[in-house]
Amino acid sequence: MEGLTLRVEHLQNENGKLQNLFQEKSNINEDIRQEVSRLSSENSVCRCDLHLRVHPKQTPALPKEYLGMLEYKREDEARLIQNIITDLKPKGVAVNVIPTLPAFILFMCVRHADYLNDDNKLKSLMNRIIQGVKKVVLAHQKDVESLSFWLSNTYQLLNCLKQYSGEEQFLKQSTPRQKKNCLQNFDLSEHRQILSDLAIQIYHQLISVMQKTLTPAIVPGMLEHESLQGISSMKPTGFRKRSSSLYNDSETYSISSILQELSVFYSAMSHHGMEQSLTKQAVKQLFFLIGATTFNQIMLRKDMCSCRKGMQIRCNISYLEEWLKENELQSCGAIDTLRPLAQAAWLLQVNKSTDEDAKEIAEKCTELNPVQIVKILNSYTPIDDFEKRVTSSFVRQVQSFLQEYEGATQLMLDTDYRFQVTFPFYPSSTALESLQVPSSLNLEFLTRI
Amino acid sequence: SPVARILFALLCCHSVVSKVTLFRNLKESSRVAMEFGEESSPALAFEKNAFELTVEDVYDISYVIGRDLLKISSTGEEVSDLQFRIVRVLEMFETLVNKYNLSVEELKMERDNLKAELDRIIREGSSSSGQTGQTVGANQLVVDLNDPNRPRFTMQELKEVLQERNQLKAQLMVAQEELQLYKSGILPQSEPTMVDVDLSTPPATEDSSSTVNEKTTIGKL
Repeated sequence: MEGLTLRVEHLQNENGKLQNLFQEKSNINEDIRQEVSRLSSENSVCRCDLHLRVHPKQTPALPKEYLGMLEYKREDEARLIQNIITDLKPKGVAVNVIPTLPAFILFMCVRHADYLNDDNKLKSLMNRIIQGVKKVVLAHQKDVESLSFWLSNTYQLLNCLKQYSGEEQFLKQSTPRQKKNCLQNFDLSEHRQILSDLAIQIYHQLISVMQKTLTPAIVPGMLEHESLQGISSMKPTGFRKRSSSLYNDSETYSISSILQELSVFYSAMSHHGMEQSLTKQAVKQLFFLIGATTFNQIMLRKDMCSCRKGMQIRCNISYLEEWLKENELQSCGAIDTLRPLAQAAWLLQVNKSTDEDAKEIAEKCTELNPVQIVKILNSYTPIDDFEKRVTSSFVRQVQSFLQEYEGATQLMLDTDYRFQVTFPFYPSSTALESLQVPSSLNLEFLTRI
Repeated sequence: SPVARILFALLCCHSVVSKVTLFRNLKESSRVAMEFGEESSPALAFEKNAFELTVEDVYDISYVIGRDLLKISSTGEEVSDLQFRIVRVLEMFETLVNKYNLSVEELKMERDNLKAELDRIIREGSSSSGQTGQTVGANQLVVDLNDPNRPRFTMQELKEVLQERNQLKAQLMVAQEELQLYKSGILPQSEPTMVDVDLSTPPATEDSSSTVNEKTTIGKL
């Protein structure tokens, strides 16, 4: 009995202890709980702060994806045209680094108007562009720099309109991204036609200005200037007097004047980023002028029809050929335009006495018609007393070989003739999204989209 | 005749050698002509002294750099950022060169104006004084000859005069003291002379002792 009581007592004690422990534990738990809630409330405050501070940085720093368009407000349209066309100088930092940038900027504005599906805005913009370019070309119609600059940019704009038109024929070399950038809502092929006509206009104006500058140098430089010193000193006294006065008169122009002028034109065109095909067409046209002008002089002047002159001309032609090679323009067909002149010069130099000579002449002078050949033969002036004039029987002999000729019989070449200019499509590899607008162009009101 | 035929042949044949040398000469002369300032090559701008650059040079530099950039770009994308950064830098360069040249011009004009002003004043000044165009330099004095208080004597003259005055003053003081002594009867009226004291003679009377004293006083003096 006692044992049980003791045990009960013991158990009660145990119980009590356990209860105390339990109590203690729950107290501790309570404390812990309080501590936890305190800390968690602190924590939540901290987290809030942290959240506020970190939040702006938490957005991933992705580079802004541009779509390659430029937005402007309708009321800024006049300012746009003013700054990017009318007042824009062909020489400046931005346009010297990227000569066709104005064309791309304008196209990006066009793209945005199309993207907005805004019919009025787009039409207005296209018309303003065309009018603007017309005006600026008119204002600078004698300046080779301005004309080259706007010809180059108009051509580039034309190419952009084609490349991004969505038409199958123009998509062949476009990157996938470029294909995505095509115009979505409007068909601008009519405006393209107007722009194309404008480009042709500018081209012809440019050619006119260059020809006007070049013309005074052609005859003195190609014909009159005697650069072959060795030959002229061998002239007999009878002729010396006359030619020395010629030499003095035309001392201002020589073949190198012509070459220099050509270099000036070529560098103006290439400085403004003109497409090579267009530059080549221009050079070909200029060479034609040189050839035709010189040729016509030979037709008119007996004193130019000598063996010596023939040699001088062939020499000058080779300098022109050399110039083409230096500027990598051999393939432009320019040298072919000089063939009538080259053959006339050859005719002046070659023997003109035997039947074989007559046959050779008839065969070789493919670019000359019989009227011209006969004229040269009849005008031929011997350089000295030893040389004989061309006999009329020889002339008749030549004519007999040319009986079957059925072409034109004009004596003179038409120096005003212009080859038809073409603007072949050239896609650009430029990614519109990567283009920026330099601040020196004063176009801050444009927004890059 | 054979001579004629040779001459004729020479005239008619293509002289390749002469053509080549001639072309070289022509090229050289046109190159020289270009150097003497038709248009010089744009790359020359890179060789200029920074302070002699003009805005035109900046444009030439822009063109050459633009061409070089085209050479390295194959697609339109990679080079573009670089291209536009270069454009930005060149724009800033253009602004600075422009500003610099304008400032130099302004300063030059101002300097020239001031110089002209100075010359004018000098000319006016020298013409009014009546002198034969003698410019007044630094450390020089302009004296009005009508001024009664104008400086007239040299330092040397002044020194001599002052020395003489000091001497005379000293002599005057001596003379005044002497006069005082005479007045007080210590000294006889006649010119005092130094009398030899004969020590062999017997001591004199009071007079003689005072005389001796006087003598000694005088001797002391």
